[in-house]
Amino acid sequence: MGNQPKNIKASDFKDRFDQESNSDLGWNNPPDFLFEDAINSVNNQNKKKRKSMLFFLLAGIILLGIFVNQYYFANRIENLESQVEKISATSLKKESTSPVNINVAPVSEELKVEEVKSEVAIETSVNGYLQKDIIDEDITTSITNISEPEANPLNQSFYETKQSGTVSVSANTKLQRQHIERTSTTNPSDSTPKEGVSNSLLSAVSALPSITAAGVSSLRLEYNPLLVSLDRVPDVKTIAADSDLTAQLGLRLERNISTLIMTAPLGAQNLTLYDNYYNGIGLQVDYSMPLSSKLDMISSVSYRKISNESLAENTLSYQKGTEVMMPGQMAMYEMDNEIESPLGTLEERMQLVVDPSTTQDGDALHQSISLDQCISVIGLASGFSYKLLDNSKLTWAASVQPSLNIILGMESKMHSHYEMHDIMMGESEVKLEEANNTRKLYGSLNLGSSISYKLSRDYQLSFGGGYQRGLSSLRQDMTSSSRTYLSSWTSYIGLSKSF
Amino acid sequence: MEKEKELIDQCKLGVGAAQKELYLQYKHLWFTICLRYVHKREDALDVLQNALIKIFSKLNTFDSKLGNFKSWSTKVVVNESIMFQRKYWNTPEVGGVNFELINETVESDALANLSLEYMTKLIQELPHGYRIVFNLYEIDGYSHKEIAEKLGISVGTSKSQLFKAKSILKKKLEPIYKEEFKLIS
Repeated sequence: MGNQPKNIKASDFKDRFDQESNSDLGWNNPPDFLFEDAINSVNNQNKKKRKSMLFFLLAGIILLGIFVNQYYFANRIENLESQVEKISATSLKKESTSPVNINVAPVSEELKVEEVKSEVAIETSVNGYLQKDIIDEDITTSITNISEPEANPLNQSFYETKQSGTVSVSANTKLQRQHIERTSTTNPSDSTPKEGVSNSLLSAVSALPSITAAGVSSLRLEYNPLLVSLDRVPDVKTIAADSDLTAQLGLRLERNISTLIMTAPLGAQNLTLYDNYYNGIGLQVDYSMPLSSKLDMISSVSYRKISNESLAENTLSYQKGTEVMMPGQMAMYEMDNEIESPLGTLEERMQLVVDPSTTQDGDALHQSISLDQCISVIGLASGFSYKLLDNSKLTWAASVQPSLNIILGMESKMHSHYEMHDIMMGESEVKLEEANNTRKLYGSLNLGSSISYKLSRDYQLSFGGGYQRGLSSLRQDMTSSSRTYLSSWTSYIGLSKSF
Repeated sequence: MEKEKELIDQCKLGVGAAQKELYLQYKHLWFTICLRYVHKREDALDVLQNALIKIFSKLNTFDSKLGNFKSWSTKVVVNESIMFQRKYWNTPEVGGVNFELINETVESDALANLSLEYMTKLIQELPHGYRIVFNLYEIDGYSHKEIAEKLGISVGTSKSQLFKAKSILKKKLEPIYKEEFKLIS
């Protein structure tokens, strides 16, 4: 056996490492700062990720809004233009029934058929405001027989139609003039001079700012031809259209009053006095897109600061062994303490200067805590709004929006008062910017009602109120069954623009 | 196992206490892997920190139905170790580990009486390529084909590096055993 080489299995390495790697052997114990650094790095990465997600989400909402707006209103304009075209055609057909005498004249003889003057009034109702656009036409049409009998064995007559004049469009206070000059060669049997009017009219109508603008709710087109040679009754046609289908972008400032709803007490601490009301502020940008005359789809991004105050009583066991003697027969007493709050677990280092002759190990040290906490929240909400009342000046609507809320940060100001044997031992006030067991995201349901007053065709002033109820707990505990839900009432004032 | 699943779920939610508990459970294992794969302790600390960032930031991708956390995290640490080695693939290693061979006496015919620290140092002493292939094949259970794909080398190279690694280890172990032996897979 001694002369025979023995076998050592390399797989023994595996067995040994499998069995012992996870034991604390001293040399394989990494320093804990590695973990702290790594977690900080992960948290920073997550913060950056959240910020970029938020940015892309906002950009997405804006792009979607622009796309919907463009697509939706492009269709609306197209529909309106086709409706205007139909009306014009109808009006012109009526006129063309009147006799137009065109005398076949010798070659090259120019005939002035007639001078056509007409006025078209287009009334548009935008958000209840009536706008009148007027088109004046002054078109002179002349027809010249350009037939050449020698080159035309069938003896057909051909005419050159020349039209010239001005179309003026008056839209509110803006005046727009368009000079028309057109020449065409036609057979008079299938053409009338009015076609020129039709074309110029359509050209002018399509140039109307009110038609190309968004928010046309009804359109009344009145064609009133003022022919020099004819006296005509105005031809009136009204088109019924959907009312007020305009998208709106708004900004609102709000005040909120919040309270917390807890399902179970937190640990041994008496944290029953949390349920008070506290003021906060907020800012919200919202976008609403009409789905019908009554129903809007609304999306909003909000930033809120929500504050809460809670009171707690805590009884700690005094650890005599941790006293550190100071000059003058006094001692410093330090203790790391975890304070349960409605919004998470706070870590504080308690420091008291005590007289060691008055303290004993295990003495009850009472801590009375007053805690002011404030969280900053970004809320992303999307839902529906229903118009309960809608007239030319006022709109009353109710809305419902589920919301995803991201807690961006938290500030806690903790004031503690310590007593032992009914004697005050000291006071402390600390500010803490972090808490454990706090959720980064929570869901909520927002219910609201608003009254909007139309300041002008495009702008609305809104007043409203809402109620937000948290659907998921702000605390996430591994052990405690306590859940904290945020509940807040909001009142706001806002300004929105239609486009 | 159920407790670990709950712990991982809490970590996925970003609960600091749970992350710390998970770290404390596995820190020795993870650091030992790093020490096996890299030459110097300082480098192993760097690798571990990078691995921890990967583990905690990618924890959401871990699915307990597809495997256990220990295997998943081990793979992350191994991959991070290999990534680190790649940076220094062509850099010669200096300042090797000094073994206190005199303290290592072997009475039996197996590796049982060698300390894990000593075994780790033996592996650390191997050249880059040999060390990685030895670790991957003999300890972490990868096949030559998998090693070849992972390192971008041929299966033949993997086998040859493993053979050379074992030859070096054998030479290092012989003075301890004070007799001739074969190191076999």
